[in-house]
Amino acid sequence: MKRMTAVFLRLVLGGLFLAAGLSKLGAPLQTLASIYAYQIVLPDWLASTIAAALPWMEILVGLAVLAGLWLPVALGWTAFMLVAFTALTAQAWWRELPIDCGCVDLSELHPALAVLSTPGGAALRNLALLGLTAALAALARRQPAEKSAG
Amino acid sequence: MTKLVAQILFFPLAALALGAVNPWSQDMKSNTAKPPATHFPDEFERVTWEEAEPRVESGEWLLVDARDEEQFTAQHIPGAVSLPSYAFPELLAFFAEEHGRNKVAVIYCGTEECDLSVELATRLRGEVGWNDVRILEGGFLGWRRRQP
Repeated sequence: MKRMTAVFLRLVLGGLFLAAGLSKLGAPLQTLASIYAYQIVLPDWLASTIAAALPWMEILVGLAVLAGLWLPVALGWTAFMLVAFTALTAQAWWRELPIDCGCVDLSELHPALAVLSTPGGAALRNLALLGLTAALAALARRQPAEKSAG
Repeated sequence: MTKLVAQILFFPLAALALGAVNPWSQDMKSNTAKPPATHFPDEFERVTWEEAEPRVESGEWLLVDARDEEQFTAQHIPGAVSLPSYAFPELLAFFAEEHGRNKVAVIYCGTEECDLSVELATRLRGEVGWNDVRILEGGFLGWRRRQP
């Protein structure tokens, strides 16, 4: 049962990161504009580097989580990115910046989900994904122990 | 231990390497490094946002966003109107009637070197006889960088 839950969580988390990376891959300028929209102090070269590398980082981490490859490290990077995204979107929410989060637009699934692309909604969504990452990490740690016990 | 460090470093280093060779990333580099890759004759005067802002605010100049509607809806410069560079000739003519072709039209697209603003400027001048068409220096990204 725990194994099935872990596989399900890996599919959800890995799939979301893969989709997020792929959606940014063909539009680096849009990603760069989204980074600037958060109005944080960043040199241009760093913002451009992040805009170019972030989609690949999401794709690689998403694929690793989906495949269960180097899972502790992949989940560590997932948590790192989610903490950074949560901090960014939360400060945008706090400062009432009129922007979308630059993340996966779930309103295509249902119009009501558009709220998850606002800074506040995205911050809450990232926190929920962080919880999911922690749950998956806990399950992944237990599984080898269960195997050896069995 | 070494294996763990190698795994940790693999993700950011691979992402940086792939980001550097990603063909789409060349769009960003072209913003500062590459010469204009336009296929349209580019004889249009450039204006800075500092020059354009007061005139756009007073209504003297018309700020036109040449990107597609989706990009315009996501983010645009305040006061801009949307006219995608691929608009039908009928829409171009209607736009010219609606806004008055004697106004100065300042056109922008994503970056300094993107094609769309020059393409639309060429069409406005050639197809509807717009008198004074200029290009916003730096495009949308240039404007965004100037924001506090």
